[in-house]
Amino acid sequence: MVHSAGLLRWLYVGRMTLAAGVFAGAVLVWQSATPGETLIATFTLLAAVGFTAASWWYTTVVGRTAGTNFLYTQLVFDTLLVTAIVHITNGPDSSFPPLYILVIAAGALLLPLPGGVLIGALASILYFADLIWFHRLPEAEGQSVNLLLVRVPADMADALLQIGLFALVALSTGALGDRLRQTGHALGQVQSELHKLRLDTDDILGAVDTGLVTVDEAGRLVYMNVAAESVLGLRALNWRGQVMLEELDRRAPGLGTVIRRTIGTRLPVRRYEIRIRTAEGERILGVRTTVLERSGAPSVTAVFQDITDSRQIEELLRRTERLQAVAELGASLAHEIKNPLASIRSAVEQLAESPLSPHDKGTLSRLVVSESNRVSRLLSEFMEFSRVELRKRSAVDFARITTDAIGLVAQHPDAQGGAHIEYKPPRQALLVDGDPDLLHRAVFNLVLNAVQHAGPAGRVRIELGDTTKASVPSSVQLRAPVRLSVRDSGPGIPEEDIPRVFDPFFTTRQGGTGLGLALVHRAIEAHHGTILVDGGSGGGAEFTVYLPAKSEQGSS
Amino acid sequence: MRPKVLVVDDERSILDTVEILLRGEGFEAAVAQSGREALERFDELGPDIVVTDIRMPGVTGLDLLEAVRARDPEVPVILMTAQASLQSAVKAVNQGAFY
Repeated sequence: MVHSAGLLRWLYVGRMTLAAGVFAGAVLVWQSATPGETLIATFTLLAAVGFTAASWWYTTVVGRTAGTNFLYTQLVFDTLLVTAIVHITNGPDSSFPPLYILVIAAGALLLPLPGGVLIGALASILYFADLIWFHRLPEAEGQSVNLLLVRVPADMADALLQIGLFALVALSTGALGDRLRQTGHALGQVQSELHKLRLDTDDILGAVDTGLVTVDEAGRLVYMNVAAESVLGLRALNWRGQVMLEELDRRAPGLGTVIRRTIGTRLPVRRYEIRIRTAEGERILGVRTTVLERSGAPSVTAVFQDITDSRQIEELLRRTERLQAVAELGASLAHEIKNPLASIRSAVEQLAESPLSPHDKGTLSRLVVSESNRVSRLLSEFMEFSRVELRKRSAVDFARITTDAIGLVAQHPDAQGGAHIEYKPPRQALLVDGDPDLLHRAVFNLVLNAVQHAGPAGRVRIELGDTTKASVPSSVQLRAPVRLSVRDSGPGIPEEDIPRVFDPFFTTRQGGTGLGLALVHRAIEAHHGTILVDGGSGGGAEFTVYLPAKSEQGSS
Repeated sequence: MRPKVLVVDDERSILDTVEILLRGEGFEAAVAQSGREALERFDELGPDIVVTDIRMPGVTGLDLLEAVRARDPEVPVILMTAQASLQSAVKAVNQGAFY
């Protein structure tokens, strides 16, 4: 039934008003009224009051639903009531027959289509019967009119027209009511499904251990799930609709602030950490916020989770990795020093004890000197490697740094009469944010490595530029970085050696310390850049460095 | 005739000192700077004994030991190492190295 409860209430109110009106009218015209009419008016009022009270008690106090029988009873009563009113207000001359229309319309809306038609028919019969029996309609006394094809007396015509109107109202309102009922049924289904969905969502949000707080634009609480309640020690019921950002900051310093910031900027915060004190000590919460803009009224949701344990595990893992790296480095360094030391020791022992030819003496003496030099060089390179850190940071021109470093490599003994370097300096500056000394050392070592592997007859091709027009490999998570590529014509790097080329002390070159590329790698990492290596299966290795471009570059 | 020793190490300085030392002791010493070169020299010279480093790029000391065993099981191989791990020692002894 379409809003039958609401319509019923209007029916009650209308009925009571009508009955009261009739009674008041009867009182006002008390003198001129016949005793019979006064009796009917009084009886009408009492019947209306009694019947309405009983109906109201049945639906509201007892709480029964208004069934079809109940509704029929209501409408039949109202039809009788209107007939009574029409009767005491002089039948054909009464100005109240239109009240039938209200009753018929109500019937058509409350009852299925046949019900509406039945009420319409009942109203017509009662009205017509009242006119004929009590008010003696003149039966064909001269005056008559044409009604459609039938000739009827003039007074009768009015009544028939009224009845026709009743039928029309019953049918049209009935059809309307039917459609409304169908729409209402579909709407009801949608509503119940929506309700179920909301229950499901509430269940899910209530069961997860991720805290969830939603506030509107003014910072008033819209929603808070169980996990958030328990972490913050708040009850959503007590705060719904109230401004609570300050309270959030009190419970979890920073939470209210990050929500306020999100409201202000309308931009989500991807990662934010706050610390709260609990009975079990300090806990770390990872927070992210999202903005939901619906019909112009934005709301902000903060999602947070206790990440204390995972953070501790991460920290432990990092420390273990660091210690392991230090241990490996120490072992490699010891190995690198032990070999020349063993040679030196053996040489010195033989020089002191055995009778040797002058040639062997010379060999051993030279060996002592060259091996000492080697240890010394190793240590200084190691020092160089270990002090790879960003000491200062400024906007530097990477093009200039690269050009300078290449110039220095050309003067290196290994490059004298060695590989040919092809390089065309870029015309414009390539600004990056970094330490110029460290970048210089990185480029120097990278180019020197290429020259040494290319060999005397080889070639080294260096390309430098921005990547605004070039594509960048997906593994490089930088936007329009500066790119430096160094390709040599050497033998290339075997597949199995590629994972180790940046390891300290890994070298395939006679006399190499294996620290050059390790330094390059550390320096580029320190600048948040990436270095990629292509072993060059057909010969010739290529190293490509990507450095984040300084953001102001576009405006300068 | 003096016994022939093949010394294998990727470190030039060690080769030099060991070579001079062995010659002083009355051996005929030949040197090789890699496992691959050692096998060439082995076929060429037919040494009486091989002294090799374990840790070398490419063909390692253990690879060399296996190859030498395959060619002539009578030739003793002495493995030298800076980092003596038990596993490499066990593996070497199983393949017939002096330990």
